[in-house]
Amino acid sequence: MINKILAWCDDRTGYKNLVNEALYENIPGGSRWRYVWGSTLMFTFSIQMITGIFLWMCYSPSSRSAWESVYYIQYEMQGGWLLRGIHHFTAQAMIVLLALHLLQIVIDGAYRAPREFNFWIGLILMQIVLGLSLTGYLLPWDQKGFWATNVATNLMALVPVVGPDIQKVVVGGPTYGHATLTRFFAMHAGVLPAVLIFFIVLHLAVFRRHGIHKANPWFARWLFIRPWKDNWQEKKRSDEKFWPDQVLKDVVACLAVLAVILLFTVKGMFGGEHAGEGLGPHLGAELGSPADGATPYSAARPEWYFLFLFQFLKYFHGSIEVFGAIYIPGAIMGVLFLMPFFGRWKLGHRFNIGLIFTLLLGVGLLTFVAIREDKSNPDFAKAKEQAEINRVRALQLAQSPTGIPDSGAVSLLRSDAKTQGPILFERHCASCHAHVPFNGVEPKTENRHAIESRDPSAPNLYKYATREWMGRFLDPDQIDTQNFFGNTAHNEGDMVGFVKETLSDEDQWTRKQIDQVLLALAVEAELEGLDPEDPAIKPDLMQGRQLLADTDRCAQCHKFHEENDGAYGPDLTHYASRQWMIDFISNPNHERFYSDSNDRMPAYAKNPDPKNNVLQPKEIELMVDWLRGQWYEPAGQKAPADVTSYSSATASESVAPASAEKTTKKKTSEK
Amino acid sequence: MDTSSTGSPTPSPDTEPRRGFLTKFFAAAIGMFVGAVPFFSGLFVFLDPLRKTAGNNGSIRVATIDSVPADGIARYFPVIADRTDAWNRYPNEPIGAVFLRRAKGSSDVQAFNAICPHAGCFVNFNIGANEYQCPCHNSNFEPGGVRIEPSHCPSPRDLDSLEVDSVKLAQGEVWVNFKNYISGKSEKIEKA
Repeated sequence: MINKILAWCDDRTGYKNLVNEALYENIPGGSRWRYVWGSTLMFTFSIQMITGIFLWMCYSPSSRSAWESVYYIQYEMQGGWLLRGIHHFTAQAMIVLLALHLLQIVIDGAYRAPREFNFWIGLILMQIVLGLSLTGYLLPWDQKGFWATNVATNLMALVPVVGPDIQKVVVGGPTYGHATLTRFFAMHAGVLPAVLIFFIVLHLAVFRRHGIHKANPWFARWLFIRPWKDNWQEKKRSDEKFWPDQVLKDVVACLAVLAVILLFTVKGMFGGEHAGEGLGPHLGAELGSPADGATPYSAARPEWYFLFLFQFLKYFHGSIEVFGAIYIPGAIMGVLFLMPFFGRWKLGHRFNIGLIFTLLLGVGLLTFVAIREDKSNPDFAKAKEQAEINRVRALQLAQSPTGIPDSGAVSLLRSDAKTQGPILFERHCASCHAHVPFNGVEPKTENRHAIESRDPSAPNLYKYATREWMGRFLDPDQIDTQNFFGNTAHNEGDMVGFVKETLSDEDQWTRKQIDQVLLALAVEAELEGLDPEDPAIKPDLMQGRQLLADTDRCAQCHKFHEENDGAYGPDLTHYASRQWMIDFISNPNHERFYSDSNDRMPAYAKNPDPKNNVLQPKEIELMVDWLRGQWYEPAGQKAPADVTSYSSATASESVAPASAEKTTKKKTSEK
Repeated sequence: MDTSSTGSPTPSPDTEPRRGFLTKFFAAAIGMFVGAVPFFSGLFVFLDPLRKTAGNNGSIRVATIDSVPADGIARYFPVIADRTDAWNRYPNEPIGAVFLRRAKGSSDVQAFNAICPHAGCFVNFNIGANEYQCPCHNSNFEPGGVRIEPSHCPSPRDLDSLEVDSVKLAQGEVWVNFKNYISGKSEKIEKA
């Protein structure tokens, strides 16, 4: 019955003929393992098409949504990491399989007449696959992909005459942006796969026309069959059909390739690498921090399969760069294309084998040298470390309750106090201010970024606004040291005199009174989450405030909430609160602060027109939040400002937080 | 002349080649035309970026002179300006970076585009070694931007210097005429 139906179909479609042609190709000399590479390439390409189409349904190619959509796939969609991981590692596998396939073709002389065209089509296919890798690497729009591709497109400008125009068309304009992604994505998902399929069809059609080229017996004899065995002559193997004999070998090879790909994809499950603090194990392919064309990325490297070109370029200096980037690689491709002609002679064939091995060896050597140079370069190691820190931080921020804003993931790090604070401090403050732990060693729980000053001439701002800092400031043994006023004009001023003579006198100021003042100032600073109405602290707080407002004590020089015409020192109202610090940095010369007795600190934002100021409001806010230790940390981590109580600061004691298991407090502005 | 049963004459040898030629010509020409129209309309759009120019940002305020002490050390400053990316307009975004440097005892400020002229990576200034170092292919430059050992330096030219507005400098502010240049060339050619 079935046969009748099949015969009816065959009558109308002729399918049986096609199926027979496809399945029952004759393989002279029988099926072989060395013939599997072409099929594994077909297999990996199919994986890429299938995983690619499914990824296409989730990916968005714009400079404000590419990283974001890939992040979503990787971390939020079920199985997203697996799908993306398979796609990523299969691309790498294809490169290896390409080399093996090419190697087998050359060794067995399968490029010789009448198969020259097929060989050339194969070389074209190789170029297309490399093009797919290059275009695909940019699509996540992370720092890694961005900078690797940036260099590659810059090299295009080296092509004589039309180079800069080619670069402009490829990049979609003078700089990287939306247009670059739309173009690269169209190439990666549309144009190149279509061209690849076209050439694959040609490749298979031409291949089937001539049939498989039997493995080279003399080479096999030299390499694979031991001469002392009595089967000197290659055993005459009978012909076999493609189905099922070669197909079995092919699918076993495909299974092995798949196993390797899956191993790389899921290896994170077996312990070892963590994706980063608060992020869980690293699974699948990596996602770097969001691309930022205006931020240096010193860890820029191409993917491993282009490292040989990267290394090669280092040897071509100055104006001969075009040789290393374009002419020589072009010439080598040209020689590869000529191989079928060289191979007509036996010597030519051996030359070809020698050439291909030399090329692969050269590629391997250059890759090895590139990796080793990087490993022995401490600056590169530091750059990689910083890139990793930024990557983890970007992911933490993306996963925070506020998520990724409209302005895109690139604004996550740009608006992060933990990331930008140290950069801004180093650039604008570190010439005078240090930010280093007072004991020299930062406890692991602190998580602040220590920054040295080359020539400190202003107070050390480490943990400024905390009771610890104020306690040290009011310590007669510390106030005139380098950490506080020691290197400033204030060293000769009234405050130093007051601390050293009056504050140190037990008859005038008891230890308890000093601690009450510190408590009152801590409430002004709004840093420790103290509740002024809390009955546990209220009595001491009221006392402290009285002392501050007492015109025979602090209010002799400092204003504190009430009007005080005699005040000439900095206003202690809301002292060291976020706004106070912002106002102070903006203009320390203001009468509210040091007025005429300001030593050397510049005013960073004194002009009402922000365009005329050294720092923009956002930059000052980032720096202030960083100094105060107020930034987002994922649950389980702790920002420095989460420490809710400080022991009363006795001289040179490092602070142990009273409770270390407090959950993260979110910045109120984030809500 | 051979007449078929329908009565219409088959073409004689001297008329056939001409008709055949015209048919072939029009078949090919019209076929190419209908194929070319969609393709060339697409190609035309594809080449749109050639129309785009980098635009002139003019002089941009980068820093105050106080941020550039006269100690010979080159310092990194981001350049902030309005940026257009296709359909988006971003006000006050980093568009690049410069190194500013004042030689010891000098009042003049040198400005260099922070992009390495070799292949487009950002260079770093190594204070200890007192030189600019590019982390990508190891180009290095003296503090004044000149290549150290030009014959062994991957970069085809020195760091790209940028014009500093002298009027504004006298007023205590560093304004730089920020431009980008094509990498890989021995001449300094502005990116159009």
